[in-house]
Amino acid sequence: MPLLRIESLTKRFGGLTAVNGLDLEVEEGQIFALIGPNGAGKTTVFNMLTGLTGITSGSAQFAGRDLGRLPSHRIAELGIGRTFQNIRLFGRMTVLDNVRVGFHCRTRTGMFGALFGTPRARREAADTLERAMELLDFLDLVPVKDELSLNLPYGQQRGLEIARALATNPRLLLLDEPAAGLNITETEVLMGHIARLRSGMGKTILLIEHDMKLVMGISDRVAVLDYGMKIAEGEPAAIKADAKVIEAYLGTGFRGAYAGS
Amino acid sequence: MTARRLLSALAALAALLLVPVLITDDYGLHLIIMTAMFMMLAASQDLIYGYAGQLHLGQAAFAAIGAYITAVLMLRFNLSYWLVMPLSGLGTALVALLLSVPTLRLRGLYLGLATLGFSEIVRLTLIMWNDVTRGPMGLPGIPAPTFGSFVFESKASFYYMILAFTVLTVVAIQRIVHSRMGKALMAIRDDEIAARAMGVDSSHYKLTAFSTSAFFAGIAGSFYSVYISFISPDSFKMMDSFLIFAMPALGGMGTVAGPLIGALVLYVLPEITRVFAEYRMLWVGGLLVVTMVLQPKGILGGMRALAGRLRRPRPEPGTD
Repeated sequence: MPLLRIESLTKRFGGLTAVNGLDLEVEEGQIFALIGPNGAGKTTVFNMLTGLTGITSGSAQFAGRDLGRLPSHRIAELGIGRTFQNIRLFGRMTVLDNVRVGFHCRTRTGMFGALFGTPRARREAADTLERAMELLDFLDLVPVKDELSLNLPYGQQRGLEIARALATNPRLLLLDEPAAGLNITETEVLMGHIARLRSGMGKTILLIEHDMKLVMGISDRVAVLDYGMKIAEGEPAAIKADAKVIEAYLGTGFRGAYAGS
Repeated sequence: MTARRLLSALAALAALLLVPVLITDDYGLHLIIMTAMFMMLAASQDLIYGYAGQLHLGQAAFAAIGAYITAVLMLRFNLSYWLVMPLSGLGTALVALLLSVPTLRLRGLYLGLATLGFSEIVRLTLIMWNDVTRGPMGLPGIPAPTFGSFVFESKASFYYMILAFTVLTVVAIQRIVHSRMGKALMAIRDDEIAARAMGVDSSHYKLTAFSTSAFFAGIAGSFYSVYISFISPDSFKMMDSFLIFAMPALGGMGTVAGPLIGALVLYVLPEITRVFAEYRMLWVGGLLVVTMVLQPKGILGGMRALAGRLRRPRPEPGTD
């Protein structure tokens, strides 16, 4: 059984059909890329999967559970974590605290524990701090842990988005254009991180990205969206050669530039 | 370092305990008592707006509810204050919960307007509900709290009572905001959508923030009831809600000392300039505008920036 099964998923905003009858299956342990021109409906798919926007029709099942009407925080608890294309960090909180928020759904301390500093609450706080530091270390953010996140340079903000999402301990991680705005070196570092997310942490990854070098380099499988519809799906090599994809998205120049590599 | 902090905390506590010994003037002590009560209200207001980011303009209405619960329970049922006081807090928290459920979807100014409307509903209810509140005449003769054979009558005894309430409120709020719950509140303030996607149940936490804050405001109102021993719908006016809202903003939101500094400035200044009668709010307003323009992080933010500049030597020209 696939970890994520999407069946004829549709989203309409008034007269606009943003996502139109999408079928998709993501297997556990896969790195799956969702590509397509701007406005193709990729982010809308992520928003439906994380409960931030309602599903018009169709269904999405995660580990056998229907995501249909579940609120966002329940979906995060089930094990879907995400990052945002237009970075949405908690700007006036420190880098460390941003990651701490990610641990929210994996910890229990309530008002009583907070007010009276119970041993359990203190243990949990110490444990959260330790694990948050591990994640910051993984994304090379330890030196800036006490900075307000809004003061971080762009590349580190992208990294923090990933660290925060990892703190929710997701089985499936949705990365929305993680390389947007990064330079070549930063993108290579990011590719290394994503590869390690799977090999080291056993995460399944669904990824939206425009950087074709990244997509073709690390994905097991690629689906192409255009005007809300899936126009192709397959292994990276097959997608690169697909006539429809080249016309809708990659452009005819792409064949010359990348076909040989 | 911790030893030094403990020592300065003890010194501060000793100074606070000595206040009624040093200030024997009744009016002076009254000002200090009322300032402490407003500090409690300002600190609880800060939990909703400074930390959870929910625009709330009705903290005085919460205080009024707590004050009336105390007055009615003590006058009608002759219950002990030490039972009535927590009940007033809990009752106010319950009303806040009922208010927050329908306003959960409102954000920013719309929420502010709803809380303003709620304040007006509270005021009108207190005026109209004659059987219980005696309407505009108010409720006089609220009995003094007793503890064994000790009766809280002197200004000094009320000073110690409100000192304990305010210190406990500030400590409780600090513990909350530094906990898992506090991080969730701040996450909602900074980006509610992202907070939800990270597993924070934003509805739950908004309700908790409102009712927790109302609990403390209700206790402050309860204190006012027994301290003044008379309450009326005019005891906590809409103007007080605005002032309480402005206190953390002026002092520095989301900090320990900010709401306290703000309460000190915004309660004491208008009070000691009563001689100027209705003009006093004019320059209080002016002060607010000037502070917000010059130092958006409030008085505390300004002092911190100044301290940082004094401590750090200016970089040599050309080394940058």
